[in-house]
Amino acid sequence: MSSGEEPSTEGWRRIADLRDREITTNERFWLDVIRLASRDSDPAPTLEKVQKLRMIFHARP
Amino acid sequence: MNNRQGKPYAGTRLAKYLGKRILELRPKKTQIAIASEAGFVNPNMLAMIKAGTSKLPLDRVSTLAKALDCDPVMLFQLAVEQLGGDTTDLAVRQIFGTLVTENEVAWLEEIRRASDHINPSVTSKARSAIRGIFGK
Repeated sequence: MSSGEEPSTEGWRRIADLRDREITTNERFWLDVIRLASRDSDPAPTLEKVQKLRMIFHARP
Repeated sequence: MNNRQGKPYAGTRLAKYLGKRILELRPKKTQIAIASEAGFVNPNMLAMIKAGTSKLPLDRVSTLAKALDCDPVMLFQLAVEQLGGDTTDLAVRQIFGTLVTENEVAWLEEIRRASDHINPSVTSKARSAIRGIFGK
């Protein structure tokens, strides 16, 4: 979030959905790695970054 | 920690983040303006939190997050860390689960989608790729 406003209704719904669904240990580990790499800057997903992320999985056998 | 210098929170992630964020916002607003927007009666309070003399009270997290234009969940996490000890952190996690920001929700969704929902582990290759994506 970078607008400084409250998340949209859709945004709150997504957060609530995610919290209702337990985050797995692996996912928590992914978050830790992202937090460490981004120095806790809470980066928003940009098209460029998301494309690079997808490469991680597409490169897997 | 700089306990002896009267700055028990100087080494915390919140103090560091606050200093960085105030600097980033400098072209747009002053530290005093941020303090005022956050509802601090005494603007010096923000300077004290930044310097690590005081901790951020939890009841100021929401308004300060708005003033800093950052995610309130992230700021809350950092404020909880200042309360000290793993037990507080653990209690919050036990009750609320892992706290995630709106951006992190989006990243997790991307990871799930990109991995075809296989709940992938973080390999060393993935870790260095993530560093490449976010590292500066």
